[in-house]
Amino acid sequence: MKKILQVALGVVTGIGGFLEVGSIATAAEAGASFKYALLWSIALGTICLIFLVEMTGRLAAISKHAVADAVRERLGFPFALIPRVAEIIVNVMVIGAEIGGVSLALKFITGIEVRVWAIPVTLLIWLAIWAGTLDFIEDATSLLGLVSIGFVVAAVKMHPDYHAVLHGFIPSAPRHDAAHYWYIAAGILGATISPYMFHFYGSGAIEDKWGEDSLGANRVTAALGMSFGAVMSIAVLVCAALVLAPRGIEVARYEQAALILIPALGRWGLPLFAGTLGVCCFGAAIEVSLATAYMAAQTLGWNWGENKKPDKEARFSMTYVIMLLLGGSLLLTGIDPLKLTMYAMALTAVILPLIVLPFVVLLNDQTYVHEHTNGPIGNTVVIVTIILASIVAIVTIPLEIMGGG
Amino acid sequence: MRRSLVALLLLAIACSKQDDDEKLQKSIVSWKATLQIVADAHLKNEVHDGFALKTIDEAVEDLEGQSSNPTNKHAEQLIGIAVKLRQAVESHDKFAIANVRGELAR
Repeated sequence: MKKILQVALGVVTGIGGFLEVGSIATAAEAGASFKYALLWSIALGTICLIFLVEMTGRLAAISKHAVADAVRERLGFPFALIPRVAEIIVNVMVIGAEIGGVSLALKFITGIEVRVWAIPVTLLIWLAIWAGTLDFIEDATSLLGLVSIGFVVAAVKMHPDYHAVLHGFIPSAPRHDAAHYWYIAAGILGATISPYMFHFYGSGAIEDKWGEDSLGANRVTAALGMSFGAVMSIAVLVCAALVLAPRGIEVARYEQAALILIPALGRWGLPLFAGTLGVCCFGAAIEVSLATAYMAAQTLGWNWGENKKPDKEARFSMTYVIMLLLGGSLLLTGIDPLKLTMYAMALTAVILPLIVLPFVVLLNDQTYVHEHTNGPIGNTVVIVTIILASIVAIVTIPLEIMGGG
Repeated sequence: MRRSLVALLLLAIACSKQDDDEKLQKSIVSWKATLQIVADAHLKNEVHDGFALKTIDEAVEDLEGQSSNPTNKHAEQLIGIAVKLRQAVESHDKFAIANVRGELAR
């Protein structure tokens, strides 16, 4: 019974925790600019994410090591330092984007500017981490995040052409704006395969004291949770393809993305969009801040744990406080939250190979995972997807920036 | 090999660099349709005044930012309609909003 509950909660976490500012922005922009043509990138990213999340959980359950911890131990501190520094830089941007998402949601409801909300939202996120336990944070944000099912309801209500939707899962070359197409594809991959998830999931598994008997639950959670979560992203893209694309609306501002639920849900559309954006970004900001603290503590050999009192892990707690302050400060500069999101997601795709390649080493090392090493399919899927993500990201980001964004 | 890679990159940059006018035209179409949805939604009480006003402001700001060229009549025209829509929303004048909505459809 306990295992069933663990799996159910994991699936709910996947659904509620999958959407965040990056996946909403990239999916909305993809649907608006290219209709269903980029659905394949959500599918590709999700397949890779399922494998990587499962590996992270397996590593934690068998070796009692989180990813950052194991990379430092197995590959050495100098090797661990480069990806971790890259992740910290990207995570500051991601936290800024998530705080921006919550602030935007509040702006949609109240009409008060994003900059005004940045400080109170940052403080509220800090308070939730400081005072809450890991279970509380996971359960509350995931359950509240179920509001994102509204996107699926809206997509179904608008009767999309299911044949065209299915066709979008087949990778295709763009008919126009090639650089922008591949840039969004990189952004979707970056938003879907978020490296912070590995640190959060793996560290959470250790805090929850997973063992070998958790492997089945881990597999089901990774597969079902992430798949159901991806359905939410797909629904956002489909809604944007049905509402924005036919009218020639490009997502230059979040206000335009916020319109995608109104034709199907009427007066509920805007509050539901704002609610989903706010709750999902709030949860994601907590997860990214904590994940960065986990990662820094494990790389530098500090005490860590969200379930312990902050004064017992002062350096761990200080790390997420600093990350929140830096992320929140980004918004105070007046940066456009949508641009910040898109750059953060594309940069995530750039650093992905650095973060994920050690998985192949760790998950094939019997000293860590005993007889539970990766099979050929797992290794192949990870390597092929990472190569694709890095090519797309490295080639298209300079093109998009030089082309005027 | 290196030369052909550089040539390929330059070609790709040239192809990807959107002409400013073309970009502005797309923005005009995009914001015109956005304002139509906002006006419709406001008439049906599906969005509140604050959201409608902010969206109109974003449209004006984005179009003004892009159309540094003062001779772009379409952009100026749309900015003018947006300002009228703003005034109509501010004064809660449904009749005026419907009129502006008609202008946007033309």
